[in-house]
Amino acid sequence: MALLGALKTLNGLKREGVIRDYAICGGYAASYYLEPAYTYDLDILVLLDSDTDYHALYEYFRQRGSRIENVYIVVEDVPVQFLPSYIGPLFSEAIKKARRITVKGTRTKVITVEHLIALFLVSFRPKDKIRILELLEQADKRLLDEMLRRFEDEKTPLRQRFKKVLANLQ
Amino acid sequence: MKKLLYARDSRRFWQIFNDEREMRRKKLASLPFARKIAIIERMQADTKLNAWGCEMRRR
Repeated sequence: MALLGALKTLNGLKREGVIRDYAICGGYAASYYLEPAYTYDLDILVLLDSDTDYHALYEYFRQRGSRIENVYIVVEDVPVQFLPSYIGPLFSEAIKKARRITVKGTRTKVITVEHLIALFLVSFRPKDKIRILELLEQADKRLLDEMLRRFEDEKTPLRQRFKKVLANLQ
Repeated sequence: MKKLLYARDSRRFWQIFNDEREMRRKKLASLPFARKIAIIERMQADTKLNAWGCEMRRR
């Protein structure tokens, strides 16, 4: 299982202090809560303080001869996209509050269903809207509403986007 | 599946179809994450693109 190898590498990064923490988001996180669905890459939220740390992360893999394709670093045959936490408070909170899980003896973290919905409202592609509707039954609606209120801004009107998604249900 | 074969009208057919699909979706969703990862990796292997990125190849 290639993904397990990638997760072990990520745990190693944490131990070596290259990153402070990480959590699975995106398609794999959606599959954690829903039925498994095809995804090309592994999206990882990484807890980093600055873009200098982000560069250091890329440098770490480059020096070890890892393939770097477009926005992906290929880790143990898995294309991984690293999303740094400093780009927004929602990202860092998603890592800090992520669920601790164990996959075949390997420890890792998956962001909560409410954070996953909020992040899909940020990316807001057609496939994200469908996943939001599917994830909703598992979400704590009050917590989600409180979160969307806290993290929305003019550029990303999360609650307005959420209403648009719900309107598609009728 | 058997029920579908005996559905005589469209409304009944789609009702059975949706119910069965929902049941399968729930069953898959309840699998352990490791099993789900194995399924996703099988899908990824099945949809490898060729060098030109246009032709799908199945195992």
